[in-house]
Amino acid sequence: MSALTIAVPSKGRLQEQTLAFFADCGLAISQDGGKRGYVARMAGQAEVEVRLLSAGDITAALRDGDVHVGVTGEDLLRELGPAFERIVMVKPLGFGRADLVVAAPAAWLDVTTMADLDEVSAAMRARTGKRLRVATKYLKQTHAFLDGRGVDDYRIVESLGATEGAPAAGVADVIVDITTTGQTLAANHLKTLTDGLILKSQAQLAASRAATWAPAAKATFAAILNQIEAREQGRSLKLVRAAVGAASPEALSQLVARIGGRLASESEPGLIAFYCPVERAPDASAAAAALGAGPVGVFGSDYVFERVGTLSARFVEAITPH
Amino acid sequence: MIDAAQRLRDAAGALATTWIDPPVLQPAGLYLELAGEDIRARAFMLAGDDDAALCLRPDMTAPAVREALKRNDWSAPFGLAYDGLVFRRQNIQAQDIQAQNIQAQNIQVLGDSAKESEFRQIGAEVFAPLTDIAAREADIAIAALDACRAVGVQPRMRLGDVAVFEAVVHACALPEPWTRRLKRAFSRPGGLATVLREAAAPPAPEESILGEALAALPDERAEAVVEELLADARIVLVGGRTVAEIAARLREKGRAMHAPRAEAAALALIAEATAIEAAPGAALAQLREIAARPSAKNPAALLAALDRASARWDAVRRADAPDATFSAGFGRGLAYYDGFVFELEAPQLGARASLGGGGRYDGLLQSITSSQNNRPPAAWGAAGFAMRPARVAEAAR
Repeated sequence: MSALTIAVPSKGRLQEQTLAFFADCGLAISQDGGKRGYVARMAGQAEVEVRLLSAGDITAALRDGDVHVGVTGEDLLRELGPAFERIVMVKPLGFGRADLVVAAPAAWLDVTTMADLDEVSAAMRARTGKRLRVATKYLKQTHAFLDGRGVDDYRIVESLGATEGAPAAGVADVIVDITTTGQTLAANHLKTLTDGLILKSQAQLAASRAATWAPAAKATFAAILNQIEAREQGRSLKLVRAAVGAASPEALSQLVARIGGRLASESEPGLIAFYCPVERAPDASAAAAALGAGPVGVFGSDYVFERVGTLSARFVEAITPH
Repeated sequence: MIDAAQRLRDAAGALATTWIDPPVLQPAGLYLELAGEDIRARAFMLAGDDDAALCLRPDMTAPAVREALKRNDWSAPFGLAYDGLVFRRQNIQAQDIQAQNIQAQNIQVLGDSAKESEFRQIGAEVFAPLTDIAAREADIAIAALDACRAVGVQPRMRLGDVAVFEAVVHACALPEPWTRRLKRAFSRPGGLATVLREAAAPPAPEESILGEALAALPDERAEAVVEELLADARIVLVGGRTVAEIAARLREKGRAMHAPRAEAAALALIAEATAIEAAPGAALAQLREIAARPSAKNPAALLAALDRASARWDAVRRADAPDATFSAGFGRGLAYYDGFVFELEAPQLGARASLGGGGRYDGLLQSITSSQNNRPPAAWGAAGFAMRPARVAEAAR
């Protein structure tokens, strides 16, 4: 077996974005030539086996420790309930964004908040003896959220297919589901409640505490995280190089500190080089020139590696039993 | 050796006319409707379509009521006795309890001190007209108590009365939704303290211009306005409510914008009344004193409930009940008790170690029938006890 198994989504937009993310980090994933369609390799990582699974299966594999690492939605991970403790969410990936929300019929003009829903559910139960029906596939998060808002008189109707159609089909009154633009909800004559946001979800790079983490697996994943972090830093930092010229070195150091930059290794007598946030690069450069330094050049970096990566350090800390 | 189970069976048999053996598998929907979604974490739910889903019975009371409803003869009181296994998840409950602060309220959560996921229960449920049932409450508690004493166990008896609690809340005449929310929060550990806290600092009433405008119209006009609004916005009405209900509640919201807040003194009174836990005579006297305060605006029902609780305690005391306390904040899990409740505890087995208990549940009798064809007469009530023979035997050693 390979030292480290990573599961990535096998289809859809989530797969595209995941593959694009790793490729951008220099960790391109390529399918194994034909023999098994659902296993792939990662560029530069001989010890890594990549498995292509559905997001739901990835969540289960992380829970069971069948893979070390996976990319899946936070909404699915949190639905693991108590088993969520086995998951370390190492890095939010910034895509696959969706909100888990409570949505009620748009025609319920009197219902805009969870407090309204609570009152309406109590009235329904008092009148009919039946509880408000909530269609969802997110049983645990729905229960926890409604419980926390004091809503009692409801029943969950487990939905496996198109949840948003449940009220129109007459099998539920309200729903708890994922939405991105709200268009699907509106098309089904539903609206979100103003305080009905349960979770702002996105894709997560997650590690499984249930997997067996041999030292080699830990080291391999730490190296991958360092590379991901270095790429991210590379994108967000510019390298500014300038001849010190007539500028006072102290004034230049103060400038670097002020803009949140750091001196880079290229600094040498008569020459200053520092990293600064992308958005500060133009005015930092202009300020350096105004102090008498120059010419000032601004350079992009593909990667900026730290001596110790914070991401990998956090992962090692989280995955190591105490 | 004296057999605890046999003594409990004798006690149950003496109260009952029939022994029943209800199915181990019960409809999950029954418990979901009765106890809410919390039950999913407590009971062993079996996979299946929602309507047909089953669970292992987490108690015997609801199944016994279902057995009672198979009868056609409601001409005279009757009792059903049982001796069988019940099934409850223990690990998740423990987490629930830790997650919530239960110190403010002494709710006895189902089997909270138990480690077993399955255990034997022996008990009896008595069904009688409301005119008779109150007189049977003390008998039921005494029967359970005597069975324990017959094997040399002297349990601590904790008494409560959900009707007294509800009367305390009603006496305070709080604006809605607080009366309703307090009543619902009662059977949930820590729930009472949470709702009292929220009532003390409620959010400002939501502005509803539409509601305010509709409140000035006659009913059918208000409804027509809502109809028109929905039609103009091309919104189709989905979900189980009518336009009339939506319009009515919009009007309510319009009026509620000018509704008073819950008085701090009334909330303090409820907190104080539910915190009382003392020997029954003393506790009931303290509650009477509270009923006389100005914040208790409608004390009549509370005084009547306290009279019933006092009469019941007098009957229990005649049976030489030893170590007993009463608290208006004491309830048992599975929110279907609505009157007298009791718990027998064996301190030698650990703090709050329950041997069993029981109480009165008229509402359950009526609410289960609403989904079946067989109905008991409306003026019937029910009460019973369920004991754990293994615990009683353990306490006897």
